Amino acid sequence: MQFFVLGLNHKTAPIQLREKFSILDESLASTAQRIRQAGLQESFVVSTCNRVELYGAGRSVSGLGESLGHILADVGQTSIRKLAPHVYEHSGGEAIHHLFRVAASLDSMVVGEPQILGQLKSAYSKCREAGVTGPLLNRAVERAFSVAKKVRSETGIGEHAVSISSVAIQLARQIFGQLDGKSAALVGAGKMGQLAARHIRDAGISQLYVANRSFERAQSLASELDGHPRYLDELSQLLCLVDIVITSTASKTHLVDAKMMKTVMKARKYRPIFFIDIAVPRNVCPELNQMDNVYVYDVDDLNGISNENKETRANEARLAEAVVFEQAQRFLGELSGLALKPTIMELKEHIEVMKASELDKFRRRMSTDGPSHDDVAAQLADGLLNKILYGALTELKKQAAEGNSEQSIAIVRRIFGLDERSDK
Amino acid sequence: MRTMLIIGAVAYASATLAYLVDLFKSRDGRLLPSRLYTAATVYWIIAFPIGAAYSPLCTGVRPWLLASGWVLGVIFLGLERRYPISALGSLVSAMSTVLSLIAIFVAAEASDLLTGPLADWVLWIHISLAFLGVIAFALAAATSILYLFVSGRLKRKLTLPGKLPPLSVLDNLALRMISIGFPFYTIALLLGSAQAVRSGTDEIKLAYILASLSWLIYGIVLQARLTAGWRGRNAATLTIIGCLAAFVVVGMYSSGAA
Repeated sequence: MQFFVLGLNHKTAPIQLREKFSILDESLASTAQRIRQAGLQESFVVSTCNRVELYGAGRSVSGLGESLGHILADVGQTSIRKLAPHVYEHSGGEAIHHLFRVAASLDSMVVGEPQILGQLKSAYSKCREAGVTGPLLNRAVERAFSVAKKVRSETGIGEHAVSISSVAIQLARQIFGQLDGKSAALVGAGKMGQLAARHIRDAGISQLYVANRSFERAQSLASELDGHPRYLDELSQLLCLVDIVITSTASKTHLVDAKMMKTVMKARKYRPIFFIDIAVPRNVCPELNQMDNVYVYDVDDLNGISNENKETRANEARLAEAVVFEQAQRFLGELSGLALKPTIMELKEHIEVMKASELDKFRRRMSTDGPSHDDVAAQLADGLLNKILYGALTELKKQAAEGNSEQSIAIVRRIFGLDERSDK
Repeated sequence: MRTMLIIGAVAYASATLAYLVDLFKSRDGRLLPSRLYTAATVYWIIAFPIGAAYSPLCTGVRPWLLASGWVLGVIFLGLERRYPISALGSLVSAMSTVLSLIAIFVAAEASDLLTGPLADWVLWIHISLAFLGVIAFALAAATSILYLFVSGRLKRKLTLPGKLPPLSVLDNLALRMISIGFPFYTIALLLGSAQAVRSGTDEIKLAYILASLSWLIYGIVLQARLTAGWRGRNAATLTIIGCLAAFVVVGMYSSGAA
């Protein structure tokens, strides 16, 4: 049995093309069923916003690329000619290695993001329930999940936030711990600010306030963000109240300065406050960062951390690649062992039949008067040896007649240890 | 017996090393340092009564020093289960190591403390309470050192290893430790003063001044934190200074310099 995968992802296809290939959860199993009809015994399909991949396992995978390519082209309602430059295919060990890399988030757009594992699990569970996967694919996919877990626990691939918003949330958590029970304020209506406020709210903030020069705008934004509107004139009162402040106004001067913060911090009883200043020019005086319990981060600070984290993740990804490679090799080794098992069983059975037949003859000869025990035992041994060697010697002669004897001779010599004997 | 105690100190040192390595590596191996510290603490809990029963090493203030090492371990390992403070392990286990080393090597000649005029049950209570206070202050100081480290990196906009606990956890833990240690330390100082008066000593030793100074520092920190909400880097710095003063007092008594 061999593995096969064909697909396209964020590296090979632009979003305009990828969006055509999105497969709904309900259709994953039926698409996998089509793969089986194309000649594979086991199949599995995964579809996310960054990739669509058709996995399969079968006795022969030659020529499968074209048939699976047609299935994929059908999914995207496009021609195979248009699709071909964006598609990749892997078979055998490479397919396993690819699957393990995908599960470990090494092939993701943001390396180390955890969502892909959940998406793979969900797709696999749907295909498995539909009965389109099989023992080999089940084994491979489940191993991919454990490899992903191993990568996550043994490397720091998922530890460092890389987007600006997630960096801000990570910093907030480093200051305040859990964010539930904390409150935040969005000052201004800049797009980046709104995005950051949404992320902060989704991270578990219990209260969100929106302050703007125009109260109507504050009201409409507050209703969008499920927050409370405030006048910008109430900023100092608001600062006494909240723990995280996102500023993104178009003000040319600092809205928050040292004088204001001295009063605010006293009123806050020196509870820590975290400013995420997304505005350019900056809305919060950067010197405030020197004050005890006041943390001020502007866009460049957040970008700097994000870039450093990306570098760290890239280093961790190198470690993760080594783990995945080693695990893929180990898995393939296990599979080879499994593939050998039926042959070993058959060989043993074959020898057992020979033994039984010769023993039968032996007993019959022993029950009749005739040759001595020694002669019968010698005949038994000769008979067994002839039967065991017959197939191997016939094949050896056949190969010699065809002019391919070298490899066969080497195998026979290795199996029976003939070279070791001649060395002695 | 001495070898047995040295093995214990090495066990603490191994835990410290494991915590330090864990702090700087990306791979998640937090169980190993914690297990090593647990093993070292359990070793001391078993070795301590044996040492106390059979060894002349357990005389003077040494039993308190040795006990402080493993009591620190027990408290920290308990807290580590509740709070994400594994990063503190290197500091706390290092304190256990230092306490046991002082007990074994420095305090070797100062075994006559409990044989003088102060040698009665009040003195035992005085020393026990003082050590309990110092253990709590040591934990508060370790927490404050980590607080300053995390806060400093945040202020300088540097990336932080994901294993460091949030500032709020460190701040609350330091406050809690001071709140627990301060009453013990206060009663210990009162008993010590009473004993000094009773024994007719009118000499003011440096150890008394330092002990009073550390008590005053913690009193100020505690009062300011509880009433005015004082916290942050200044509170952490004072907590560390207070602990250093208390440690000097412990060192002076341990070495016989007091």
